[in-house]
Amino acid sequence: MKKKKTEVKAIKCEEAVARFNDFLDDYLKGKSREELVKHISECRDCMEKYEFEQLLKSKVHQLAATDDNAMKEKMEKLMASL
Amino acid sequence: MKDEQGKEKLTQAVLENISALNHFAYSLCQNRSEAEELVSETVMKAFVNINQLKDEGKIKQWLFRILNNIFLSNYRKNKNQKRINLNGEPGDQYFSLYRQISSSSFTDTDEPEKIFINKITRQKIQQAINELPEEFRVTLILCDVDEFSYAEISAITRTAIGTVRSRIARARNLLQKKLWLYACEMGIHAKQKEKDHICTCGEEELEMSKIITV
Repeated sequence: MKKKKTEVKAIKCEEAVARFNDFLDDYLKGKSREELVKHISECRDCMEKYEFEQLLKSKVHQLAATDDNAMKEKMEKLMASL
Repeated sequence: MKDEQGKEKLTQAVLENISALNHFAYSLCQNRSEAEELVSETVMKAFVNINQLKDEGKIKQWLFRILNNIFLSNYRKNKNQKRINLNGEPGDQYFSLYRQISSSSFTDTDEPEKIFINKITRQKIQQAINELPEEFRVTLILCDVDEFSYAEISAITRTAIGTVRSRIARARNLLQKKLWLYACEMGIHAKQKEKDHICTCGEEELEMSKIITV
């Protein structure tokens, strides 16, 4: 028998915002995720707020170190001596 | 892992992750030469204990855990520093940098928040992260910079996943408060309730005086 599709519950902006971090890190699953996606698609303010959180996260990610050749050489020497 | 085969894999993993390890060490020590020393100690300890590594798929996580452990036992300056209250502090309420900037007087453009993101420098973001309490700083870097999962961060820092989750949320919140101060330095100023709050979430805009620096 086919499962009856249940309607996704509407949530308030406050609840949506509280789920942003889990959603950003891909930890939001199941109904919680569906409810947030529905809310964001219907609430422009929360959508913009979430997009900003994404931009900020990617900006922080840019701190990821670029290749440090001097350090690499030092470690190569160190490891060769071990 | 067997010694010879393990050492080869370890050498490769160290070289692949050396910049990330060095950046993480610097974020912990906030001092270049100490960070280098910490990385060297980490590599030496990893070589000595290579037979303790059970899963070579977790070699990067293992290196970060060793580094974090050495930092905690030998490098941390203030071992008696104030612990963070995980149940929250007064003034710990949700802070939206987006809300502050989008309702600011910096409105020559329709999207001041995007201008801010483009203008804020790498140095300012690093500086703001450096000012976060240690637990938050470490967790945020492992999550957002090094892209470890919550489970991996939990293993590296030996804390419960729930704690990791809560630290990430609070670290991002505090980071946004810090960045709001930089936004103000850039000429973005809070408007006195000129813009209507479209959102129905009931969130209050934070006045400058309410921003708590940590």
